[in-house]
Amino acid sequence: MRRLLKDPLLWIFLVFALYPAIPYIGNFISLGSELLLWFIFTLSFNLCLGQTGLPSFGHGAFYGLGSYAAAITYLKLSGEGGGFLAPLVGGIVVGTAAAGLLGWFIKDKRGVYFAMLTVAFTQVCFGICWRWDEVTGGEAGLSGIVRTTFLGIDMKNLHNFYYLCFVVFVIAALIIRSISRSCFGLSLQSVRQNHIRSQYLGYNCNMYKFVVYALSGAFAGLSGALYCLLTQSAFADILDWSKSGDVVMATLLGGGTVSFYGPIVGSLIFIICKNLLSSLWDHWLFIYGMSFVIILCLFPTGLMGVFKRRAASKA
Amino acid sequence: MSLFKITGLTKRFGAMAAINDVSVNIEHGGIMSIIGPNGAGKTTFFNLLTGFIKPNAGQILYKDQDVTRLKPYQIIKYGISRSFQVVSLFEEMTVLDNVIVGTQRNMGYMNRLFARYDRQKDVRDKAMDILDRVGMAHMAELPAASIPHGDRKILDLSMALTTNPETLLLDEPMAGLSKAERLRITNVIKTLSQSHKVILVEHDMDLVFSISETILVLHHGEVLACGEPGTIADNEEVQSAYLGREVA
Repeated sequence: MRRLLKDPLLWIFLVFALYPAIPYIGNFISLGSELLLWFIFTLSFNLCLGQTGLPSFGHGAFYGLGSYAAAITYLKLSGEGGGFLAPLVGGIVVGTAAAGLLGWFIKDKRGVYFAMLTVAFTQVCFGICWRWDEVTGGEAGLSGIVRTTFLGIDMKNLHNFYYLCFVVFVIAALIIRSISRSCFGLSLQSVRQNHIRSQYLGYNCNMYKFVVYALSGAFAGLSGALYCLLTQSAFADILDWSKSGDVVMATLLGGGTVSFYGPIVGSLIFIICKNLLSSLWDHWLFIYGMSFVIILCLFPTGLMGVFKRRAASKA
Repeated sequence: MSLFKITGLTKRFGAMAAINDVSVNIEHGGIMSIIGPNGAGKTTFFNLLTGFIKPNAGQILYKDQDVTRLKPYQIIKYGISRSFQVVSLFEEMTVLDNVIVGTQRNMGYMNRLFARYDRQKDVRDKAMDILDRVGMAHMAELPAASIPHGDRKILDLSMALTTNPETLLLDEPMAGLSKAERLRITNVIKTLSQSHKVILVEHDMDLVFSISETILVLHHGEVLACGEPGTIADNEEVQSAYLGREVA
Protein backbone atom coordinates (compact mmCIF):
# COMPACT_ATOMS: atom_id res chain seq x y z
CA MET A 1 0.00 0.00 0.00
CA ARG A 2 2.75 2.39 0.93
CA ARG A 3 4.54 1.57 -2.29
CA LEU A 4 1.36 2.29 -4.21
CA LEU A 5 1.07 5.70 -2.52
CA LYS A 6 4.62 6.55 -3.49
CA ASP A 7 3.89 5.80 -7.12
CA PRO A 8 3.96 9.09 -9.09
CA LEU A 9 1.66 7.62 -11.71
CA LEU A 10 -1.09 7.20 -9.11
CA TRP A 11 -0.88 10.91 -8.30
CA ILE A 12 -0.91 11.85 -11.94
CA PHE A 13 -4.03 9.72 -12.38
CA LEU A 14 -5.66 11.34 -9.35
CA VAL A 15 -4.95 14.88 -10.55
CA PHE A 16 -6.38 14.17 -13.97
CA ALA A 17 -9.37 12.29 -12.59
CA LEU A 18 -10.23 15.52 -10.77
CA TYR A 19 -9.13 17.81 -13.61
CA PRO A 20 -12.58 19.32 -14.33
CA ALA A 21 -12.77 20.38 -10.69
CA ILE A 22 -9.47 22.29 -10.76
CA PRO A 23 -10.18 26.03 -10.52
CA TYR A 24 -9.71 28.10 -13.69
CA ILE A 25 -7.84 25.51 -15.78
CA GLY A 26 -10.56 22.94 -15.20
CA ASN A 27 -12.90 25.05 -17.31
CA PHE A 28 -10.85 24.31 -20.40
CA ILE A 29 -12.00 20.74 -20.73
CA SER A 30 -10.72 20.34 -24.29
CA LEU A 31 -7.32 21.43 -23.06
CA GLY A 32 -7.48 18.60 -20.56
CA SER A 33 -8.28 16.09 -23.29
CA GLU A 34 -5.47 17.43 -25.45
CA LEU A 35 -3.07 17.10 -22.53
CA LEU A 36 -4.01 13.45 -22.06
CA LEU A 37 -3.53 12.74 -25.78
CA TRP A 38 -0.16 14.38 -25.68
CA PHE A 39 0.81 12.30 -22.70
CA ILE A 40 0.05 9.12 -24.66
CA PHE A 41 1.82 10.48 -27.72
CA THR A 42 5.00 11.62 -25.97
CA LEU A 43 5.13 8.44 -23.86
CA SER A 44 5.00 6.43 -27.07
CA PHE A 45 7.72 8.63 -28.53
CA ASN A 46 9.85 8.08 -25.47
CA LEU A 47 9.66 4.30 -25.91
CA CYS A 48 11.82 5.07 -28.95
CA LEU A 49 14.03 7.88 -27.68
CA GLY A 50 14.43 7.32 -23.96
CA GLN A 51 14.18 3.55 -23.90
CA THR A 52 15.80 2.42 -27.14
CA GLY A 53 17.75 5.51 -28.17
CA LEU A 54 15.98 5.89 -31.50
CA PRO A 55 15.86 9.56 -32.52
CA SER A 56 12.50 9.34 -34.24
CA PHE A 57 12.23 12.99 -35.17
CA GLY A 58 9.30 12.38 -37.47
CA HIS A 59 7.03 10.77 -34.93
CA GLY A 60 4.20 13.12 -35.84
CA ALA A 61 3.67 10.97 -38.93
CA PHE A 62 2.06 8.21 -36.92
CA TYR A 63 0.00 10.65 -34.91
CA GLY A 64 -1.21 12.32 -38.10
CA LEU A 65 -1.83 9.10 -39.98
CA GLY A 66 -3.68 7.75 -36.95
CA SER A 67 -5.85 10.82 -37.02
CA TYR A 68 -6.59 10.43 -40.75
CA ALA A 69 -7.22 6.72 -40.31
CA ALA A 70 -9.78 7.45 -37.61
CA ALA A 71 -11.49 10.07 -39.77
CA ILE A 72 -11.60 7.85 -42.84
CA THR A 73 -12.76 4.82 -40.86
CA TYR A 74 -15.51 6.92 -39.38
CA LEU A 75 -16.63 8.54 -42.63
CA LYS A 76 -16.33 5.53 -44.91
CA LEU A 77 -16.99 2.53 -42.69
CA SER A 78 -18.57 3.04 -39.33
CA GLY A 79 -20.56 6.23 -39.80
CA GLU A 80 -22.57 7.93 -37.14
CA GLY A 81 -24.08 4.74 -35.78
CA GLY A 82 -20.83 2.87 -35.77
CA GLY A 83 -19.55 4.35 -32.58
CA PHE A 84 -16.04 4.89 -31.38
CA LEU A 85 -14.35 1.59 -31.50
CA ALA A 86 -13.77 1.36 -35.26
CA PRO A 87 -11.97 4.76 -35.60
CA LEU A 88 -9.78 4.02 -32.58
CA VAL A 89 -8.87 0.59 -33.91
CA GLY A 90 -8.28 2.15 -37.34
CA GLY A 91 -5.86 4.65 -35.81
CA ILE A 92 -3.95 1.95 -33.96
CA VAL A 93 -3.73 -0.33 -37.01
CA VAL A 94 -2.56 2.38 -39.37
CA GLY A 95 -0.11 3.80 -36.80
CA THR A 96 1.40 0.35 -36.27
CA ALA A 97 1.52 -0.45 -39.97
CA ALA A 98 3.13 2.85 -40.98
CA ALA A 99 5.72 2.68 -38.20
CA GLY A 100 6.35 -0.98 -38.91
CA LEU A 101 6.89 -0.28 -42.61
CA LEU A 102 9.26 2.61 -41.98
CA GLY A 103 10.96 0.77 -39.14
CA TRP A 104 11.63 -2.26 -41.30
CA PHE A 105 13.52 -0.17 -43.84
CA ILE A 106 15.53 1.94 -41.43
CA LYS A 107 16.12 -0.55 -38.63
CA ASP A 108 19.83 -0.80 -39.40
CA LYS A 109 20.32 2.98 -39.43
CA ARG A 110 21.64 4.90 -36.46
CA GLY A 111 21.81 8.41 -35.11
CA VAL A 112 21.35 11.30 -37.48
CA TYR A 113 20.64 9.02 -40.48
CA PHE A 114 17.78 7.43 -38.62
CA ALA A 115 16.49 10.85 -37.56
CA MET A 116 16.63 12.33 -41.05
CA LEU A 117 14.86 9.36 -42.62
CA THR A 118 12.01 9.64 -40.14
CA VAL A 119 11.70 13.36 -40.87
CA ALA A 120 11.67 12.61 -44.60
CA PHE A 121 8.93 10.02 -44.05
CA THR A 122 6.78 12.58 -42.23
CA GLN A 123 7.20 15.03 -45.07
CA VAL A 124 6.20 12.39 -47.60
CA CYS A 125 3.08 11.62 -45.57
CA PHE A 126 2.36 15.33 -45.30
CA GLY A 127 2.72 15.74 -49.08
CA ILE A 128 0.37 12.87 -49.78
CA CYS A 129 -2.28 14.01 -47.31
CA TRP A 130 -2.03 17.60 -48.53
CA ARG A 131 -2.58 16.65 -52.18
CA TRP A 132 -4.72 13.53 -52.27
CA ASP A 133 -8.10 15.25 -52.37
CA GLU A 134 -10.22 12.14 -52.90
CA VAL A 135 -9.08 10.33 -49.78
CA THR A 136 -7.70 12.89 -47.35
CA GLY A 137 -9.65 15.92 -48.42
CA GLY A 138 -6.43 17.67 -49.43
CA GLU A 139 -5.93 21.15 -48.05
CA ALA A 140 -9.44 21.28 -46.65
CA GLY A 141 -8.89 18.15 -44.60
CA LEU A 142 -11.66 15.89 -43.43
CA SER A 143 -14.53 17.07 -41.32
CA GLY A 144 -18.00 15.92 -40.45
CA ILE A 145 -16.91 13.52 -37.78
CA VAL A 146 -19.46 13.57 -34.98
CA ARG A 147 -18.79 12.12 -31.60
CA THR A 148 -21.76 9.89 -30.86
CA THR A 149 -22.41 7.57 -27.99
CA PHE A 150 -19.94 5.04 -26.70
CA LEU A 151 -21.11 2.23 -24.45
CA GLY A 152 -24.28 4.21 -23.97
CA ILE A 153 -22.43 7.36 -22.85
CA ASP A 154 -23.06 10.55 -24.77
CA MET A 155 -19.71 11.66 -26.18
CA LYS A 156 -20.99 14.98 -27.51
CA ASN A 157 -20.61 16.03 -23.92
CA LEU A 158 -16.98 17.17 -23.63
CA HIS A 159 -16.76 16.01 -20.03
CA ASN A 160 -17.66 12.48 -21.02
CA PHE A 161 -15.18 12.56 -23.85
CA TYR A 162 -12.54 13.81 -21.44
CA TYR A 163 -13.10 10.78 -19.26
CA LEU A 164 -12.85 8.47 -22.26
CA CYS A 165 -9.44 10.01 -22.99
CA PHE A 166 -8.59 9.63 -19.32
CA VAL A 167 -9.39 5.92 -19.31
CA VAL A 168 -7.39 5.38 -22.49
CA PHE A 169 -4.49 7.35 -20.99
CA VAL A 170 -4.53 5.30 -17.79
CA ILE A 171 -4.44 2.05 -19.76
CA ALA A 172 -1.77 3.29 -22.18
CA ALA A 173 0.43 4.71 -19.41
CA LEU A 174 0.23 1.51 -17.39
CA ILE A 175 1.09 -0.60 -20.42
CA ILE A 176 3.99 1.62 -21.51
CA ARG A 177 5.43 1.81 -18.01
CA SER A 178 5.13 -1.89 -17.55
CA ILE A 179 6.95 -2.43 -20.85
CA SER A 180 9.71 -0.06 -19.87
CA ARG A 181 10.34 -1.97 -16.63
CA SER A 182 10.03 -5.41 -18.15
CA CYS A 183 12.59 -7.89 -19.41
CA PHE A 184 11.82 -6.60 -22.90
CA GLY A 185 12.38 -3.06 -21.62
CA LEU A 186 15.81 -4.05 -20.31
CA SER A 187 16.62 -5.54 -23.69
CA LEU A 188 15.69 -2.19 -25.27
CA GLN A 189 17.85 -0.37 -22.72
CA SER A 190 20.78 -2.54 -23.68
CA VAL A 191 20.30 -1.61 -27.34
CA ARG A 192 20.31 2.07 -26.41
CA GLN A 193 23.25 2.03 -24.05
CA ASN A 194 25.64 -0.19 -25.99
CA HIS A 195 24.39 -1.84 -29.15
CA ILE A 196 27.66 -3.61 -29.88
CA ARG A 197 27.81 -5.28 -26.50
CA SER A 198 24.15 -6.05 -26.75
CA GLN A 199 24.76 -7.97 -29.98
CA TYR A 200 27.55 -9.94 -28.36
CA LEU A 201 25.13 -10.97 -25.65
CA GLY A 202 22.86 -12.39 -28.31
CA TYR A 203 20.46 -9.57 -29.07
CA ASN A 204 19.44 -8.90 -32.63
CA CYS A 205 19.41 -5.14 -32.12
CA ASN A 206 17.83 -4.27 -35.47
CA MET A 207 14.89 -6.52 -34.76
CA TYR A 208 14.33 -4.84 -31.38
CA LYS A 209 14.43 -1.45 -33.05
CA PHE A 210 11.84 -2.57 -35.58
CA VAL A 211 9.50 -4.05 -32.98
CA VAL A 212 9.66 -1.10 -30.61
CA TYR A 213 9.12 1.30 -33.48
CA ALA A 214 5.94 -0.48 -34.57
CA LEU A 215 4.79 -0.69 -30.96
CA SER A 216 5.39 2.99 -30.48
CA GLY A 217 3.52 3.69 -33.72
CA ALA A 218 0.49 1.88 -32.28
CA PHE A 219 0.25 4.27 -29.32
CA ALA A 220 0.98 7.30 -31.48
CA GLY A 221 -1.78 6.20 -33.87
CA LEU A 222 -4.15 5.75 -30.95
CA SER A 223 -3.52 9.26 -29.65
CA GLY A 224 -3.91 10.61 -33.19
CA ALA A 225 -7.28 8.88 -33.49
CA LEU A 226 -8.42 10.44 -30.22
CA TYR A 227 -7.24 13.82 -31.47
CA CYS A 228 -9.38 13.37 -34.57
CA LEU A 229 -12.39 12.65 -32.39
CA LEU A 230 -11.59 15.59 -30.13
CA THR A 231 -11.38 18.11 -32.97
CA GLN A 232 -13.93 16.20 -35.07
CA SER A 233 -11.69 16.63 -38.06
CA ALA A 234 -8.36 15.64 -39.57
CA PHE A 235 -5.95 18.12 -41.14
CA ALA A 236 -2.64 17.70 -42.88
CA ASP A 237 -0.92 20.34 -40.79
CA ILE A 238 -0.48 17.97 -37.84
CA LEU A 239 1.76 15.95 -40.14
CA ASP A 240 4.08 18.89 -40.62
CA TRP A 241 7.61 18.19 -39.44
CA SER A 242 7.50 21.07 -36.99
CA LYS A 243 4.79 19.23 -35.04
CA SER A 244 7.14 16.27 -34.70
CA GLY A 245 9.69 18.74 -33.39
CA ASP A 246 7.26 19.79 -30.65
CA VAL A 247 7.19 16.22 -29.37
CA VAL A 248 10.95 16.00 -29.30
CA MET A 249 11.22 19.33 -27.51
CA ALA A 250 8.57 18.48 -24.95
CA THR A 251 10.16 15.12 -24.22
CA LEU A 252 13.67 16.52 -23.86
CA LEU A 253 12.46 19.46 -21.78
CA GLY A 254 10.68 17.12 -19.39
CA GLY A 255 13.68 14.80 -19.17
CA GLY A 256 12.49 11.77 -21.11
CA THR A 257 16.02 10.46 -21.54
CA VAL A 258 16.36 9.78 -17.83
CA SER A 259 12.84 9.32 -16.57
CA PHE A 260 9.61 7.63 -17.57
CA TYR A 261 7.71 10.70 -16.33
CA GLY A 262 9.75 13.17 -18.38
CA PRO A 263 7.39 13.16 -21.37
CA ILE A 264 4.41 13.84 -19.08
CA VAL A 265 6.13 16.80 -17.43
CA GLY A 266 7.29 18.11 -20.80
CA SER A 267 3.95 17.91 -22.55
CA LEU A 268 2.23 19.46 -19.55
CA ILE A 269 4.47 22.51 -19.92
CA PHE A 270 4.23 22.60 -23.70
CA ILE A 271 0.45 22.28 -23.99
CA ILE A 272 -0.20 24.75 -21.17
CA CYS A 273 2.19 27.25 -22.76
CA LYS A 274 0.66 26.66 -26.17
CA ASN A 275 -2.86 27.28 -24.96
CA LEU A 276 -2.48 29.85 -22.20
CA LEU A 277 0.68 31.76 -23.07
CA SER A 278 -0.40 32.10 -26.68
CA SER A 279 -3.58 33.90 -25.67
CA LEU A 280 -1.48 36.45 -23.78
CA TRP A 281 1.17 37.12 -26.38
CA ASP A 282 1.39 36.18 -30.06
CA HIS A 283 5.10 35.54 -29.88
CA TRP A 284 4.84 33.04 -27.03
CA LEU A 285 7.03 30.59 -28.93
CA PHE A 286 9.90 33.01 -28.37
CA ILE A 287 9.59 32.59 -24.61
CA TYR A 288 9.05 28.86 -24.86
CA GLY A 289 12.02 28.42 -27.22
CA MET A 290 14.31 30.57 -25.10
CA SER A 291 13.43 28.72 -21.92
CA PHE A 292 13.97 25.41 -23.75
CA VAL A 293 17.47 26.47 -24.77
CA ILE A 294 18.34 27.81 -21.33
CA ILE A 295 16.99 24.81 -19.43
CA LEU A 296 18.73 22.27 -21.65
CA CYS A 297 22.01 24.20 -21.54
CA LEU A 298 21.93 24.23 -17.75
CA PHE A 299 20.38 20.78 -17.28
CA PRO A 300 21.05 18.55 -20.28
CA THR A 301 18.90 15.78 -18.85
CA GLY A 302 15.84 18.01 -18.60
CA LEU A 303 13.60 18.81 -15.67
CA MET A 304 13.27 15.24 -14.43
CA GLY A 305 17.04 15.01 -14.59
CA VAL A 306 17.32 17.83 -12.04
CA PHE A 307 14.73 16.15 -9.88
CA LYS A 308 16.48 12.79 -10.07
CA ARG A 309 19.88 14.25 -9.25
CA ARG A 310 18.40 15.95 -6.20
CA ALA A 311 16.88 12.68 -5.04
CA ALA A 312 20.17 10.88 -5.62
CA SER A 313 22.26 13.42 -3.72
CA LYS A 314 19.85 13.25 -0.79
CA ALA A 315 20.09 9.49 -0.58
CA MET B 1 38.22 -31.79 -35.27
CA SER B 2 39.98 -28.46 -34.77
CA LEU B 3 38.44 -25.76 -32.68
CA PHE B 4 39.00 -23.20 -35.42
CA LYS B 5 39.98 -24.22 -38.94
CA ILE B 6 40.89 -21.11 -40.87
CA THR B 7 41.66 -21.18 -44.59
CA GLY B 8 42.85 -18.36 -46.82
CA LEU B 9 41.52 -15.66 -44.52
CA THR B 10 42.12 -12.17 -45.93
CA LYS B 11 40.99 -8.77 -44.72
CA ARG B 12 42.03 -5.65 -46.58
CA PHE B 13 41.59 -2.07 -45.46
CA GLY B 14 42.11 -0.17 -48.69
CA ALA B 15 45.41 -1.30 -50.18
CA MET B 16 46.69 -2.68 -46.90
CA ALA B 17 46.06 -6.32 -46.12
CA ALA B 18 45.69 -6.44 -42.33
CA ILE B 19 45.26 -10.20 -42.53
CA ASN B 20 46.82 -11.76 -45.60
CA ASP B 21 45.83 -15.26 -46.68
CA VAL B 22 46.04 -16.80 -43.24
CA SER B 23 45.45 -20.51 -42.96
CA VAL B 24 45.79 -22.08 -39.56
CA ASN B 25 44.25 -24.81 -37.48
CA ILE B 26 43.66 -23.93 -33.88
CA GLU B 27 43.69 -27.20 -32.00
CA HIS B 28 42.69 -26.68 -28.52
CA GLY B 29 43.73 -27.40 -25.06
CA GLY B 30 43.97 -24.89 -22.26
CA ILE B 31 44.80 -21.27 -22.95
CA MET B 32 45.92 -20.04 -26.35
CA SER B 33 47.42 -16.62 -26.95
CA ILE B 34 47.69 -14.58 -30.10
CA ILE B 35 50.70 -12.27 -30.04
CA GLY B 36 52.60 -10.12 -32.47
CA PRO B 37 54.20 -6.70 -32.75
CA ASN B 38 52.01 -3.62 -33.07
CA GLY B 39 50.15 -3.61 -36.37
CA ALA B 40 50.58 -7.34 -36.86
CA GLY B 41 46.85 -7.81 -37.38
CA LYS B 42 45.98 -9.33 -33.99
CA THR B 43 42.90 -7.24 -33.41
CA THR B 44 41.71 -7.68 -37.00
CA PHE B 45 42.16 -11.42 -36.68
CA PHE B 46 40.27 -11.38 -33.41
CA ASN B 47 37.46 -9.30 -34.89
CA LEU B 48 37.18 -11.68 -37.83
CA LEU B 49 36.88 -14.67 -35.52
CA THR B 50 34.08 -13.02 -33.57
CA GLY B 51 32.11 -11.75 -36.57
CA PHE B 52 32.72 -8.09 -35.78
CA ILE B 53 34.06 -7.52 -39.30
CA LYS B 54 33.65 -9.62 -42.43
CA PRO B 55 36.65 -11.00 -44.36
CA ASN B 56 37.31 -10.22 -48.03
CA ALA B 57 38.13 -13.84 -48.65
CA GLY B 58 38.58 -17.11 -46.84
CA GLN B 59 36.67 -19.29 -44.47
CA ILE B 60 36.43 -19.79 -40.73
CA LEU B 61 35.16 -23.12 -39.45
CA TYR B 62 34.35 -23.45 -35.78
CA LYS B 63 34.19 -27.14 -34.89
CA ASP B 64 33.51 -27.91 -38.57
CA GLN B 65 30.67 -25.38 -38.81
CA ASP B 66 31.02 -22.38 -41.10
CA VAL B 67 30.86 -19.19 -39.05
CA THR B 68 32.61 -16.92 -41.56
CA ARG B 69 29.82 -14.48 -42.30
CA LEU B 70 27.66 -14.76 -39.22
CA LYS B 71 26.60 -11.68 -37.31
CA PRO B 72 27.73 -11.28 -33.69
CA TYR B 73 24.37 -12.25 -32.24
CA GLN B 74 24.39 -15.41 -34.36
CA ILE B 75 27.97 -16.36 -33.60
CA ILE B 76 27.38 -16.48 -29.86
CA LYS B 77 24.87 -19.29 -30.42
CA TYR B 78 27.77 -21.51 -31.49
CA GLY B 79 29.34 -21.08 -28.08
CA ILE B 80 31.77 -18.29 -28.91
CA SER B 81 31.85 -15.26 -26.64
CA ARG B 82 34.18 -12.29 -26.41
CA SER B 83 35.32 -9.55 -24.09
CA PHE B 84 36.48 -6.11 -25.16
CA GLN B 85 39.83 -4.37 -25.01
CA VAL B 86 38.17 -1.05 -24.26
CA VAL B 87 35.70 -2.06 -21.57
CA SER B 88 32.23 -2.26 -23.07
CA LEU B 89 29.51 -2.04 -20.45
CA PHE B 90 26.01 -0.66 -20.07
CA GLU B 91 27.22 2.41 -18.24
CA GLU B 92 23.88 3.57 -16.84
CA MET B 93 23.04 0.22 -15.25
CA THR B 94 24.17 -1.37 -12.01
CA VAL B 95 26.79 -4.10 -12.04
CA LEU B 96 24.11 -6.72 -11.52
CA ASP B 97 21.88 -5.40 -14.32
CA ASN B 98 24.85 -5.50 -16.68
CA VAL B 99 25.06 -9.22 -16.08
CA ILE B 100 21.27 -9.69 -16.09
CA VAL B 101 21.05 -8.37 -19.67
CA GLY B 102 23.07 -11.33 -20.87
CA THR B 103 21.59 -13.82 -18.44
CA GLN B 104 17.98 -13.09 -19.34
CA ARG B 105 18.86 -13.46 -23.03
CA ASN B 106 20.51 -16.77 -22.33
CA MET B 107 17.56 -18.04 -20.32
CA GLY B 108 15.01 -16.88 -22.87
CA TYR B 109 13.37 -14.14 -20.80
CA MET B 110 14.38 -11.23 -23.04
CA ASN B 111 11.06 -10.73 -24.82
CA ARG B 112 8.72 -10.83 -21.85
CA LEU B 113 6.69 -7.66 -22.20
CA PHE B 114 5.06 -7.42 -18.82
CA ALA B 115 7.33 -9.31 -16.44
CA ARG B 116 9.53 -6.96 -14.41
CA TYR B 117 13.11 -7.80 -15.20
CA ASP B 118 14.30 -7.21 -11.64
CA ARG B 119 11.79 -9.65 -10.21
CA GLN B 120 12.85 -12.74 -12.17
CA LYS B 121 14.37 -14.74 -9.39
CA ASP B 122 16.06 -17.43 -11.49
CA VAL B 123 17.66 -14.87 -13.80
CA ARG B 124 18.84 -12.88 -10.82
CA ASP B 125 20.25 -15.94 -9.07
CA LYS B 126 22.11 -17.00 -12.19
CA ALA B 127 23.54 -13.49 -12.59
CA MET B 128 24.62 -13.38 -8.94
CA ASP B 129 26.18 -16.77 -9.43
CA ILE B 130 28.33 -15.44 -12.28
CA LEU B 131 29.36 -12.40 -10.23
CA ASP B 132 30.21 -14.72 -7.39
CA ARG B 133 32.49 -16.79 -9.60
CA VAL B 134 34.58 -13.74 -10.49
CA GLY B 135 34.46 -12.36 -6.96
CA MET B 136 32.29 -9.33 -7.60
CA ALA B 137 29.08 -10.26 -5.81
CA HIS B 138 29.61 -7.57 -3.16
CA MET B 139 29.49 -4.88 -5.86
CA ALA B 140 26.24 -6.02 -7.45
CA GLU B 141 24.17 -2.95 -6.61
CA LEU B 142 26.79 -0.32 -7.51
CA PRO B 143 26.46 1.69 -10.73
CA ALA B 144 28.76 0.18 -13.36
CA ALA B 145 30.22 3.61 -14.12
CA SER B 146 31.39 4.06 -10.53
CA ILE B 147 33.58 0.99 -9.95
CA PRO B 148 37.40 0.84 -10.33
CA HIS B 149 38.96 0.03 -13.69
CA GLY B 150 40.13 -3.43 -12.69
CA ASP B 151 36.62 -4.35 -11.62
CA ARG B 152 35.22 -2.98 -14.85
CA LYS B 153 37.54 -5.29 -16.74
CA ILE B 154 36.30 -8.24 -14.73
CA LEU B 155 32.68 -7.16 -15.19
CA ASP B 156 33.30 -7.03 -18.95
CA LEU B 157 34.64 -10.55 -18.71
CA SER B 158 31.76 -11.83 -16.64
CA MET B 159 29.29 -10.41 -19.16
CA ALA B 160 30.98 -12.60 -21.76
CA LEU B 161 30.25 -15.57 -19.51
CA THR B 162 26.49 -14.99 -19.51
CA THR B 163 26.03 -16.49 -22.96
CA ASN B 164 27.22 -19.82 -21.58
CA PRO B 165 30.15 -20.02 -23.99
CA GLU B 166 32.44 -22.92 -24.69
CA THR B 167 35.15 -20.70 -26.13
CA LEU B 168 36.06 -17.35 -24.63
CA LEU B 169 37.97 -14.84 -26.71
CA LEU B 170 39.55 -12.16 -24.56
CA ASP B 171 40.85 -9.01 -26.21
CA GLU B 172 43.80 -7.67 -24.19
CA PRO B 173 42.38 -8.40 -20.75
CA MET B 174 45.43 -6.78 -19.10
CA ALA B 175 45.39 -3.50 -21.01
CA GLY B 176 45.82 -0.53 -18.69
CA LEU B 177 45.91 -2.44 -15.41
CA SER B 178 48.16 -2.14 -12.39
CA LYS B 179 50.36 -5.00 -11.28
CA ALA B 180 48.01 -6.10 -8.51
CA GLU B 181 45.04 -6.02 -10.86
CA ARG B 182 46.96 -8.03 -13.45
CA LEU B 183 47.56 -10.72 -10.90
CA ARG B 184 43.89 -10.81 -10.02
CA ILE B 185 42.78 -11.12 -13.66
CA THR B 186 45.41 -13.76 -14.33
CA ASN B 187 43.89 -15.84 -11.57
CA VAL B 188 40.38 -15.32 -12.91
CA ILE B 189 41.51 -16.38 -16.39
CA LYS B 190 43.26 -19.44 -15.01
CA THR B 191 40.10 -20.47 -13.18
CA LEU B 192 37.98 -19.91 -16.27
CA SER B 193 40.34 -21.96 -18.40
CA GLN B 194 39.34 -25.03 -16.42
CA SER B 195 35.78 -24.81 -17.68
CA HIS B 196 36.20 -22.86 -20.94
CA LYS B 197 38.53 -22.78 -23.90
CA VAL B 198 40.30 -19.44 -23.71
CA ILE B 199 41.90 -17.53 -26.55
CA LEU B 200 43.73 -14.32 -25.64
CA VAL B 201 45.12 -11.40 -27.55
CA GLU B 202 47.71 -9.90 -25.24
CA HIS B 203 50.72 -7.61 -25.11
CA ASP B 204 51.89 -8.67 -21.68
CA MET B 205 54.61 -11.22 -22.52
CA ASP B 206 55.09 -12.37 -18.94
CA LEU B 207 51.48 -13.37 -18.77
CA VAL B 208 51.42 -14.91 -22.23
CA PHE B 209 54.42 -17.12 -21.60
CA SER B 210 53.38 -18.09 -18.09
CA ILE B 211 49.81 -19.20 -18.72
CA SER B 212 49.51 -20.15 -22.41
CA GLU B 213 49.75 -23.68 -23.68
CA THR B 214 49.83 -22.57 -27.28
CA ILE B 215 51.00 -19.30 -28.80
CA LEU B 216 50.13 -18.02 -32.27
CA VAL B 217 52.45 -15.30 -33.58
CA LEU B 218 51.19 -12.91 -36.22
CA HIS B 219 53.43 -10.59 -38.18
CA HIS B 220 52.45 -8.33 -41.09
CA GLY B 221 49.11 -10.06 -41.29
CA GLU B 222 50.56 -13.52 -41.64
CA VAL B 223 51.17 -16.41 -39.28
CA LEU B 224 54.82 -16.42 -38.29
CA ALA B 225 54.75 -19.30 -35.89
CA CYS B 226 52.40 -21.40 -33.84
CA GLY B 227 53.42 -23.70 -31.03
CA GLU B 228 54.26 -24.15 -27.39
CA PRO B 229 55.75 -21.22 -25.43
CA GLY B 230 59.17 -22.89 -25.28
CA THR B 231 59.55 -23.30 -29.02
CA ILE B 232 58.10 -19.84 -29.73
CA ALA B 233 60.61 -18.20 -27.39
CA ASP B 234 63.47 -19.92 -29.19
CA ASN B 235 62.15 -19.17 -32.66
CA GLU B 236 64.54 -16.82 -34.45
CA GLU B 237 61.95 -15.37 -36.80
CA VAL B 238 59.78 -14.43 -33.84
CA GLN B 239 62.72 -12.84 -32.06
CA SER B 240 63.66 -10.75 -35.06
CA ALA B 241 60.03 -9.71 -35.65
CA TYR B 242 59.92 -8.34 -32.12
CA LEU B 243 63.36 -6.79 -32.35
CA GLY B 244 62.54 -5.27 -35.74
CA ARG B 245 65.28 -6.94 -37.80
CA GLU B 246 64.73 -8.57 -41.14
CA VAL B 247 65.41 -12.29 -41.29
CA ALA B 248 68.23 -13.05 -43.68
